[in-house]
Amino acid sequence: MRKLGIICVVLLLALGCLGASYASWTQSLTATNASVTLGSWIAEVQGPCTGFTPSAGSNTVSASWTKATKTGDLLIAIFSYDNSGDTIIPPSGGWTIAVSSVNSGHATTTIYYILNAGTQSGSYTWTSNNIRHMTIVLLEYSGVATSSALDKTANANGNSATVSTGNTASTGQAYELAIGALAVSGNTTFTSLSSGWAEVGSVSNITGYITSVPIYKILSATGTQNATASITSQPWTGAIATFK
Amino acid sequence: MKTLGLICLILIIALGTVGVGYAAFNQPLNNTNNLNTGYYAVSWGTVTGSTTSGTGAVTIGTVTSSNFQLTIGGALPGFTGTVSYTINNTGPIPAKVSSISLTAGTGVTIINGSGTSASPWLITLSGGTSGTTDVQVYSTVTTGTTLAASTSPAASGILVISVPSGLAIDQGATGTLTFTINTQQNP
Repeated sequence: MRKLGIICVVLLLALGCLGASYASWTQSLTATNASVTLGSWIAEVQGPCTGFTPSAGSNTVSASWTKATKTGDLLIAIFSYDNSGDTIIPPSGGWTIAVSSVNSGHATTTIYYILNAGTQSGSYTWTSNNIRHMTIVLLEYSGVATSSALDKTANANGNSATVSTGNTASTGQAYELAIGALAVSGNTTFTSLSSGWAEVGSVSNITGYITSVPIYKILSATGTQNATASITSQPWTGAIATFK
Repeated sequence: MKTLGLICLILIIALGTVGVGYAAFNQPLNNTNNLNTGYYAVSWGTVTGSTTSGTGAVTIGTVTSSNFQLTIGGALPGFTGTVSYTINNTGPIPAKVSSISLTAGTGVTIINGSGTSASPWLITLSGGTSGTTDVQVYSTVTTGTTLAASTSPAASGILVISVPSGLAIDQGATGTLTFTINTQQNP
């Protein structure tokens, strides 16, 4: 019995060695600690924060942020009035004109912006050298480049039943924010907005001498950009700016 | 018993003497062939990363026989990146892919999925909205893929990483993962 036991032990050891050899014939191929980080992308943070002049008109128009803006965001202001050729003074804080569109004697709309803005809150006032009917719309977007972000602009004007922003040149990169401004020297409803564009909201002064519609689209491919909408036939003006 | 032991001893000595004599009457033969023991040598071959759509960067760091470093940065909704790889089997033992897995590291929760194109792993990243898929991952190499002996590459595949469009915003979310292809002798 003792010899049999020894034989069994030897056999077990031999089989164990074979098993160990077989087990060693495996290999794991890995990508350890692969890091995945999402970027910051473009999103509407707040808007529209609107303002308009009273029926008698005014040489100033103001709007207030609903909440304090975040440091580093892109701030947009779309200013429109029912004439052309005025000297317009934006509020302090670094507002820069991206693009302006003029329908002489009828309507003017301008897209202002601040890149990588410091936080803002409260009321902001645009001033004209004339008494006009004016509207102002404030918008805030995150995820836009903090420098050299303005890419392409265009404008257009006419007197018809279709309002247009004009056609930009092909955008410089796929992922951009397009801001559009459509305005008419009257009070009308904008319908049939181009696909993919979102109307932020319509603002008109009380007596309807000027109506402004800010629109935006988050782009996903390079190409020329344009937005149109249907209106009752009348003088109109439109502008567009894209931001990387 | 003593007599029997003596007989055995004599027999052993006699047989040993015969053996020595036999050896003396023989010409030695030299075998020049090599006799190798088996060894297992499955490893990563080439590994390259690229962005196939959208915004985001795929970076491949150090690649060793058993591991490579992968970094995906600045991925936005609509991003798809790929890691194309080959697997070498430079040894004499045929192998196969026994399993493929993805394990969560820091800041990652794997919701579900099996890692195929039809059922990608769905992942949320730290800083993201709980339960919202931030990233999808799948491998074109599947369990059972054979890796023929002494073949380079023995298999090739793609690891696909994408950020679906239209997600709840999880900007700046980050985390780490470990992708593993386990191989074993085949059969």
